[in-house]
Amino acid sequence: MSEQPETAEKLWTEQYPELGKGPVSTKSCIDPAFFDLERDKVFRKTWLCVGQEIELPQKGSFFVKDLPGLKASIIIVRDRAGKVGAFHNVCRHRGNKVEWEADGRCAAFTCKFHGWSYKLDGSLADVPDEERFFDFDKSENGLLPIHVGVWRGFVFVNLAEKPKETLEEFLAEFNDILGKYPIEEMTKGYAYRAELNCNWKVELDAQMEGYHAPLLHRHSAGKAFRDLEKGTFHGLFYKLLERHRMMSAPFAPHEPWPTEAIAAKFGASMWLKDESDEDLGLNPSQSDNWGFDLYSFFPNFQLVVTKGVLMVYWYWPVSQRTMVYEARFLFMPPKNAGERFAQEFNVAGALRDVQMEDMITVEATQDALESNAIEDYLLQDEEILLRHAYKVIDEAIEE
Amino acid sequence: MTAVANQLPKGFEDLEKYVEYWAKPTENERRLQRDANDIETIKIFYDDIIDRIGPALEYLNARDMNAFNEEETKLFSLTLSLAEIAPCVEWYNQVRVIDGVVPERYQVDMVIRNRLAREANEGVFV
Repeated sequence: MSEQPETAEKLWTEQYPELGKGPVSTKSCIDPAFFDLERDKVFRKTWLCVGQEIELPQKGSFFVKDLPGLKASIIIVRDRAGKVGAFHNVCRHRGNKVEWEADGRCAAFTCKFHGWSYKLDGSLADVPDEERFFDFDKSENGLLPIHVGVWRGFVFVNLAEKPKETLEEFLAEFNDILGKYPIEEMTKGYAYRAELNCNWKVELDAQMEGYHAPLLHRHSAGKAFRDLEKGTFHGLFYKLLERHRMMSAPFAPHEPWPTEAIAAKFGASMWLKDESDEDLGLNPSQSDNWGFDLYSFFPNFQLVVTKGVLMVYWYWPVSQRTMVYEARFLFMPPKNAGERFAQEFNVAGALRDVQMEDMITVEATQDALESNAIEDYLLQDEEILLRHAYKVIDEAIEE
Repeated sequence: MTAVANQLPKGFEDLEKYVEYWAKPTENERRLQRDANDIETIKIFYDDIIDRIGPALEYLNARDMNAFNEEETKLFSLTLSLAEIAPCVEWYNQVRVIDGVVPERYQVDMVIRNRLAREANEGVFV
């Protein structure tokens, strides 16, 4: 083809020559040995988001994050001083799971096996028949702590004994991304979960590019993604950082669907242009057709930001061919029934269905990769975030 | 569908017949109702409610959503069912997502949903 594409001068991949333009190997999605390396050298060595501070509303509030693919079960708790702590959910005595509930509020964690009891700060409070242990010091046998930190209301943990960087250093490049966006106030939440038979990266790949959107979402919201003249999706702005990455994406102007028009009248629709000129620090390319900004945190966490809704996605590895996908859609608490109706439209009447379309390809892709019919992906410019994601995982494993 | 009279505020009598099936208080229940139905039945509900949503939301907006009485609560749940079934009518002309995973594969995470609802004091409107 001799004709130059119209966007030739703006190909994003050419701005990052270190990425190359060749096919990207998919071996890391099917190789069990690579999975073990990924778990030990990436997931167990990196800051991982595990939830939100709003899940710990009071002193004594806790939740348990079970991450079987990472060989970890973690108690996250707000202690009596109001501080967020994280501990291995493992009794120091003989390894029984200490907390069996998914969440709750308590004054202490007591193991059901022999009754060892731990304070909210992890320290060992009580050991039945303690005097019959040998050379035993309670102060040295608390719950095993995990490094923990909070950024804009999101709780991160690091399973490494000595993290190679602080949470602040890990997030430095993303520190100012959300400007004045009121994350901390967006407490009205919807939550979903899917267990998928694919490598965690295959599902992540599906949510790091918009090239698929006009076609895969043609039965649903496709017209909001499609450039009506060209029928294609072109991101507004891409930025690749050391490990994190971001995309700013457009929405195409469209005639609202009837229920969307009602939602827009009483609240907002994420698919429609918001005329409010409040500058929240989003839309980095200052585009008139701005739709949303997608921030992909290394390795498995994403925030997708629009003015009305904050989307939060996790991609948890379970095995090299299974994963758990978790999603939350967060809003400001609705002030009235009309605002709540609009929120319900955005999620139950739109986003949830759209995500069910996203999921349809991933298990078939996994099967195909395992068949070895293909051994790599051919990636175009709009798929630049995938190229970056595979590169930084490889680099982390080689370290 | 059996109609029980006076379950909705005055002025919304025409929607009484939908209360039993569609006035469900939680997203998960509304979603299950959608999936248990056929598109013809959903369309009848859609056609009857689409022009009534504006007046219903205006009526409800004039009241404190944290202090709705039983009738107002039912009317509100009915409006939320429109959000649930809108894609069936406006996008697919069928109940389920076209070329998507089945609903069982992408479930409401009730553990997280309830945890967040407790924090937001959402009461029955989960």
